[in-house]
Amino acid sequence: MEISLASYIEGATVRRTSEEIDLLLRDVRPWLYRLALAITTRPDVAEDVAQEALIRASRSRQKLMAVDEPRAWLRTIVVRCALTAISKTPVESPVSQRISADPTDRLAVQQVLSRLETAERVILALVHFEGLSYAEIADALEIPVGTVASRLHNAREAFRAEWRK
Amino acid sequence: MNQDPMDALDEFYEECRMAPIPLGLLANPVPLPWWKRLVIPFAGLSLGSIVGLLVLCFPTHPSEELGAQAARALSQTQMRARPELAVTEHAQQGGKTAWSA
Repeated sequence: MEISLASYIEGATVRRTSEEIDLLLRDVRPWLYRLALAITTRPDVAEDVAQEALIRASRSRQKLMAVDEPRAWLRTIVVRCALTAISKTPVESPVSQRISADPTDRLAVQQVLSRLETAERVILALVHFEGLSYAEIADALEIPVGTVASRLHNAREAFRAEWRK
Repeated sequence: MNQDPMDALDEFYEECRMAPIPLGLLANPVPLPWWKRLVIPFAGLSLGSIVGLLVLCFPTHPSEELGAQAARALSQTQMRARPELAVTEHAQQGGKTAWSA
């Protein structure tokens, strides 16, 4: 059975079958992992976050069958799992966990991001990695749109300040 | 770090978009609800097979009692076949037979 990812991601309101949910949870794994990586900056933590998000989504598959926008719903789960994981993960040197082979600026970005507040990392990832609008971020984080704007401004300023250090 | 910080940030996220997926994450099956995990081992079995398995796993009598019943039945069969065994057994238990008294 071939079902395109877009058909169940782009807000189809039809209740999905269990098989469709299985396909969805299989197809979104790369995206879940990369979003988790963008937030946590660490591959090992990102893998745990993606796995935890998959388990939570699977446990709530009845809800996933009926939800209008599964991608937005899954994104919220990933963000929550990432917040929990970051709070439990000790800060470490990301040298052994770096994403890129380039040891200069990419590594510096990881180090700078790891020094930011968790909420700032999340909002930077949602804007720069996911390309979400303020309204979508407000939905995902369950905060007012005005808070999104101010938090993003603060996050960018904090990133620039840490970058210069 | 001469690069513009926002450019560096965007490049970092571009790296994330192309990051290889861990094999463990791809290989793991989609987590299933508990009831499905219970049912899957029995998939393909007939109802009779499942009932048979359940009877084997959960017998109506404890196995010890079944063993004791079997031993008693065997003993009675042997006694009927060879009455002297019954006499011997009775004597071993300190009893007296009509003809030994």
